[in-house]
Amino acid sequence: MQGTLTLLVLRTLESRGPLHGYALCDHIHAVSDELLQVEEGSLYPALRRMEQDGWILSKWEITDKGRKAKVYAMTPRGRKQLAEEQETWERLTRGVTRVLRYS
Amino acid sequence: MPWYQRWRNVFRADRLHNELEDEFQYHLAETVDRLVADGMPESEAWREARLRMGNYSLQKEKTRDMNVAAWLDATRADLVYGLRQLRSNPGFAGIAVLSLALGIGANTTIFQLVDAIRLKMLPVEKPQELASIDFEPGSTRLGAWYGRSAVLTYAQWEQIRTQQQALSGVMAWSADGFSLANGGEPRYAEGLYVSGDFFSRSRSSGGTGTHIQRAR
Repeated sequence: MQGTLTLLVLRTLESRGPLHGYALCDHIHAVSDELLQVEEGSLYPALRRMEQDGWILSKWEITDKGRKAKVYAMTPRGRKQLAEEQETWERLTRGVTRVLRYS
Repeated sequence: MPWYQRWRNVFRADRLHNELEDEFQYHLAETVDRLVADGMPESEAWREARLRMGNYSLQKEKTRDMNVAAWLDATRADLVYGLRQLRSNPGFAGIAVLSLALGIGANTTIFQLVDAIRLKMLPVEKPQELASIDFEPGSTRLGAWYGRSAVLTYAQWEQIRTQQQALSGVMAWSADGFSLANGGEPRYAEGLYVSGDFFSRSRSSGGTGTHIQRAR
């Protein structure tokens, strides 16, 4: 869903610390009991956008397999953004649940 | 900004592009590793990984487009460069500014003239209240018509005249050529067919002769 990708990425970076794009995809896929599949093609544009908004930082590292990977970490501004988006998300789901339950 | 710095900007865009390429490559390599670990032959795994990435080059373009900052920077550099060029060639700059000024000035004057004479001084009582009802320019309808756009038929005009409520009244016209001669050699004149209340509606002060009235 539009907009939830930033929420998922920020929350993952908060709980797991700095990660590269592939690990982000993997983590979200695994933790959601394989219910959520982050589309790889939309992840990287989103990451770049978030970096430009100052929510995350990136740097290049060499992984233990000897590959170059770009690692993303959350900034304080990202933390604030996460709190906001979490709040919005909870309000949205509460509202939708109420509408669905109403009979 | 000197030319070599402009070149550096070009290379910087390239570097950004390379970084993206590296990031995608890393993602592909990791995906392939996992697929191979799950028992897929390596050549097939590469194909599969690419498929999962979606339209590879399109995604790359999309990600690159996100870098508006780089684009803005290039535009700013171009502007500064242009200004510097103008300053170093004052003769050329003067002529360019002068011709622009003349062109803009002439256009403005002509528009003001047309506006005053043709638009504001129509020989009707309240020209500012006039509105035009027509098909959208360039639109089509069935049948034959002159010119590029469809025109209203008489039946459509009648519908508008009897049903419209937005205006205090409507009038219609159609340009045509007429022969003024009463038999014999024709005397050609440009003219308009107009609806019956054309003159009373517009309270036109133009022209001489007898104004026609709306048919009772």
